[in-house]
Amino acid sequence: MNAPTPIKNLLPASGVQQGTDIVHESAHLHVTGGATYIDDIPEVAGTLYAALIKSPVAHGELIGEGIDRARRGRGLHGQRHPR
Amino acid sequence: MTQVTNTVRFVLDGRIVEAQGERRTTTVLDYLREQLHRTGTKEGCAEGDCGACVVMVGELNAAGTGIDYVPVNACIQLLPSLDGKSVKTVESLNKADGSLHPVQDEMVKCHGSQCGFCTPGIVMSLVNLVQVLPQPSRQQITDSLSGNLCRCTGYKPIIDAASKACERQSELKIDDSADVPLLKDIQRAKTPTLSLDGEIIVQPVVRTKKGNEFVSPATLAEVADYLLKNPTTTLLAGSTEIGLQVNKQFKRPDHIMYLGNVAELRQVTETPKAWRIGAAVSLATLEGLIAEAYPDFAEVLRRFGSPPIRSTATLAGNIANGSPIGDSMPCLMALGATLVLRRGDKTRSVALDQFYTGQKQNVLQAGEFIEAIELPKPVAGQVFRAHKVSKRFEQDISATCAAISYSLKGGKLSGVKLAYNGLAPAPCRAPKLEAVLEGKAPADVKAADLDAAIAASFTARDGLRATWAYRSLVARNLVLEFIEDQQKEVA
Repeated sequence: MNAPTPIKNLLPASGVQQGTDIVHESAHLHVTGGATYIDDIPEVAGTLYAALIKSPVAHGELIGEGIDRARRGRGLHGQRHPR
Repeated sequence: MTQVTNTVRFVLDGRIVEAQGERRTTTVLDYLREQLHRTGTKEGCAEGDCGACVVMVGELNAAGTGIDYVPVNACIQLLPSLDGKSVKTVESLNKADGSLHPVQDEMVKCHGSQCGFCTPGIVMSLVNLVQVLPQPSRQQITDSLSGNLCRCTGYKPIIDAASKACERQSELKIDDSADVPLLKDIQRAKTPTLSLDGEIIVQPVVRTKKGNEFVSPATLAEVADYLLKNPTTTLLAGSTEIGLQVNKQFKRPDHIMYLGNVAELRQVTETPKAWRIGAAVSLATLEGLIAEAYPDFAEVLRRFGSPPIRSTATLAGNIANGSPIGDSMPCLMALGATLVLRRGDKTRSVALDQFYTGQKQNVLQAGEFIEAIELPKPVAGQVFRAHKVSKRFEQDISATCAAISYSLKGGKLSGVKLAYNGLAPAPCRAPKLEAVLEGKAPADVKAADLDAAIAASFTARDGLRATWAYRSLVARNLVLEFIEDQQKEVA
């Protein structure tokens, strides 16, 4: 997609390096909106989303999951928790 | 002029986009990114603060010969409000030969990007600026960027790039000649549709299976009629508050009525004594209107929000929303502004300082709405001062904003009107402080008397923005500054 430009191509042909401006390798992509960030990549069909559910209690003990309501809805594929 | 329902039509780079089957609360940003795959426009904060999503929205000018643009935060604008308008995104600047717009080119040359995430928004803010002001001052450049947060490059190279770009005058205008005839094609009728027995029918732009609607009427008569029939309708103007509710609180109002196409509400009319500002007039328009008469008010407006906010948000929206820290209200109250409220074909006038009944509570009845704001012009000898205190200079929430109006008669303060936000559940006048000031020479006003009046007027309450100790001290010191300055001017 947007492979980084080899740095030697950015340096002046004269070979002088110190005190010489080098344009940001991605600047052209930045200013045109062409730089691809993760959220800009089209989603692959079937992509699942994950959400973290954090404990409201510090140093608590996990005694149950209480996700029955979520299970009754559509689209829940599973849950994982640390053991 | 054609009538189309359930389709949002807008012009994008020489073609008409017809968005069908979208929700009434789909944002412009989501539609651009997810349906049109224009991913150059970024989502940062999703609340109109960071500017990564800035695009230009155009409307046919009054003569119908060209397009007037404003910068807009796409993340908080609802797609149906785009109906009948045109959009320019960062991709719109792409040319067949691969050459860059001067703003883009100079951003590259001046090292104006680092992580690059904010860059498309910055480019669009600057491109919009040079369409309107081809030779901006440095101040105008920085103001145009007040709604674009950059957190790695820093602003100097960006401002330098803007200045450099303006040296290339002949290249600044974007070519939108192909858009003009298309924009004419997609305009909706400017008169109400009537049923056979003469009843007004407001055609929805979007209507869901459940019967929820997004309507965008063109006349005041339609607005009044629709509100009588659907009194729980959410009125949408600049979307700077509703867009947040949609994105952050997942609110889905049943009925939404957009006021941006109502010609009568976009008008400012003038008498020798006052301006009558329509409910859909933007803060940017207001700023130009009052800049000379009330420079302090204009300063508050500049700091109120960024250009994308000010170009869409309205004075009536700020008033109707009624936030305790709404910044326009102290200024308007000190100036004795009056609201024109309409319900059906009846109107009444309510002074703004009588409008609020509590936190986000007001005197509006079901089906009633703000039609206009009447703002008196300055009279000879009148002094108006206002100042907003906030942590960040631009785009921040006030600790308090204070405004005062008075004149000096025989060296004594007369006709004092003082108002604050941030001290009470709603912005309000401060009659006890006014009583301390009225009839006194500025030099005779004692800080202790003001402190006592503040303590007697407001409930001490620490808030997220400031402690009460800070707020009450600032509230008093602003008054002293407002009257002290005047002494110097007189001397």
